[in-house]
Amino acid sequence: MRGVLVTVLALAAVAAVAGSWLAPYDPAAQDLALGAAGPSAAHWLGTDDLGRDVLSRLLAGAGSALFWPVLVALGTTALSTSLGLLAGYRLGWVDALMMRIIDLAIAMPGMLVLIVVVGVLGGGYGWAVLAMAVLFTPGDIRVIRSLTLAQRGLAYAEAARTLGLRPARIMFRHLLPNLAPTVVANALLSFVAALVSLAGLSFLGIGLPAGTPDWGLMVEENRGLLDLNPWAALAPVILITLVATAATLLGDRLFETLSEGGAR
Amino acid sequence: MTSPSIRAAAAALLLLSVTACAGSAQKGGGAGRDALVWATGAAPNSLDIAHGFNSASTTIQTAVLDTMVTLDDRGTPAPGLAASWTQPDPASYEFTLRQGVKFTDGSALTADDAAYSLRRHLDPAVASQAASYFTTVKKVEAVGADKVRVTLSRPNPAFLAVAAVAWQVVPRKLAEAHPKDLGSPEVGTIGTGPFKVVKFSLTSGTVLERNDGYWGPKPALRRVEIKNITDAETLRMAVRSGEVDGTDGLNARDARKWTGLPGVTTFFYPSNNIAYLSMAVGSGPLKDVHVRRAIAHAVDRAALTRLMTAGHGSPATAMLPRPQLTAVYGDAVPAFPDHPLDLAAAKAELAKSAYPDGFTLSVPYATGGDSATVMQAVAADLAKIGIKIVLEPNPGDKYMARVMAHDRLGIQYVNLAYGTPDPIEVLPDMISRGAAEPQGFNFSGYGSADVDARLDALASATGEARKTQLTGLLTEIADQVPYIPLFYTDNAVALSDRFTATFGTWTFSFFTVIRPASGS
Repeated sequence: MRGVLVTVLALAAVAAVAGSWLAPYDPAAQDLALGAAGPSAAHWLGTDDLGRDVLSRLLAGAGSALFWPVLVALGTTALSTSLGLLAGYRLGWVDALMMRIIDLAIAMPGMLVLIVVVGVLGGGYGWAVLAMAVLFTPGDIRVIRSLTLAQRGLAYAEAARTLGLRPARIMFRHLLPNLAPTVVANALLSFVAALVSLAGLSFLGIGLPAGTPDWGLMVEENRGLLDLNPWAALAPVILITLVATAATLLGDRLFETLSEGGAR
Repeated sequence: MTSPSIRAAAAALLLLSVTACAGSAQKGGGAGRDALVWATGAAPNSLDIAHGFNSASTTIQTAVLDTMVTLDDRGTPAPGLAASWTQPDPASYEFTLRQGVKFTDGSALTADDAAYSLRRHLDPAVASQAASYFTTVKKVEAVGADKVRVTLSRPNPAFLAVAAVAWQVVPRKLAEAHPKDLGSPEVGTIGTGPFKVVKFSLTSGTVLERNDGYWGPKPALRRVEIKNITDAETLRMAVRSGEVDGTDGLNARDARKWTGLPGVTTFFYPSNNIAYLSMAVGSGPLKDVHVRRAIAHAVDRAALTRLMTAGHGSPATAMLPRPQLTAVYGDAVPAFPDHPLDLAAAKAELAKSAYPDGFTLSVPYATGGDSATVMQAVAADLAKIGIKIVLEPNPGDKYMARVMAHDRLGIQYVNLAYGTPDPIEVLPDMISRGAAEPQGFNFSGYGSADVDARLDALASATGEARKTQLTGLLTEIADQVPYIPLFYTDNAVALSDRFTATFGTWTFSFFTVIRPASGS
């Protein structure tokens, strides 16, 4: 099972890196005379209403579909791990202040904030990624903080403090490895949440300019073509679902594996 | 672990719910074969044209409110509430009211009601959306019990045509008491038309019932329920399932999806509209006429027409809707300067400009609409001559607000439908300096004192002089290219086979022409 999940994600990663090179046609090349047409020998997944090759756009769109969620996951993980460790280890006013801020942040309706931020500021996914990193972080901080609280009282942490190690070294060299299963699983779940949320934004027409090869945008642009070429809209939906499912399940598997490893 | 899992699930749910697009119309509606359930693709906002001058609102207004003048099948002014009229001099009209007409509240129609109904559009306190139709009206007065005299500031051959669209007659007492909120759900309206309003809600729809005291031919429909279904696929499913009997909320581009629906007939008929590209001539590369001509040569209008009309339209040949060209020229429309698809000519024009190697232009568009598709095709065409278009997505309402504010205009896709067969309804919007201000429709900003003077002359001209004036202005537009005419699209109506109708360009009220099909 894990092999299948890794294969799916590896193929997606290959498409993200080399999709434009692998695409049989220029993903932006239009053929208005051809218009929307079903699969054929020349166009395996058919064409959209501007006569663009759907397969080429899927391959070229993988980069946009996966790059930004990876960025969100990295940003969220870095922020939440650092701040969660800090709050859980230092406690006191640092912890109290951080938790109150997080209470406020969690009360915000995330998707609405995203729509407003991207709708008002425009400029592609840049603002969306920043907003997502900020919005996704508070929940993860709480998780990391609670785990840190449990770890800081254990004997190895006490020993490190007794030895006079600096707090930063204790947090990142000694506590963090024991939080790794959760951090990795959180990172993958953040990736999935960002993948689906960004696809949702694209579907709403917010974020990327029309014509950009992007899976979410393809669903929006081609949903009116279900009678002429259903693959133009269904293929990106299937890919989003497949990648999101694979990443979620892989996150669960990694969590179990790493936890078992830690227990041993 | 819990929080991100919920987050991922919530995000997935959002995508699914957006995809599903909700909105299920209630089953049924009209009981009986003379009860129609209609759907509009946009929400009506007012039963008063002064505050609801839009397609969804006027669909209801035209069923409830009569105008003094109407348009016949060919777009020629014909008697409405005015049984007849005379023109004592070129700048004045005297209308004689039809006798025995009553409002649906039982009160008799008076000349004072009719005069006030026009005069109110000139009142700044009303802030009428139809005010621009009546800028030449100087004075409106009731003359005796059954006559209304309208005095214009100058002769205006278009007056009767615009009156047929916007001079809706309401009781003076009601309109005077509600200058701002006449036609709102709270106040409603009262008319003399073939239907009366039983219910008007911005959220749950509208119900009309036949006005049995109507002075004209009685409509065949007894009851009309009007729903608002904005999502095109939901609307199609509602018609397909029989929840809705008819709609005009479809566009020609999607004709293929509608023509095969079982038990539904789709009608296509010529519309009084034009789709075009507007180019802001005030600054930047578009200020250069050679750049504009290059763009005109590079855009494949025939391909765009095929894409956007799916065989239910035709390429536009001049910057006027086809019925307006026909109204002035008949079948002998002159040949205006053209810029046919020719990449070599486009490059040659660009070479003459200050931008021989091309340039980059940021172009806003409304997401989720036709402008996204059109601008993608235009961008691909212009890339062939070195002009790079950077598309800038905007939510529909933000885009409209930005365009109407004339905020950073560049190249805009515009598709407008008009109400009358008179070119003077369109041209001042396109090229007068007044309309180049925010909230005006002159998105190109093209215009001059000379053009304004010629528009004034056109407004008063008749006969051959009118043709000459119009030809001069259209030739100048075609030569200077502040606009590129793209295509004309047919109107479309989908109707259950339980009903039948005959629709035309000048059909204002759907509900008076729709009738139960024989044998249904």
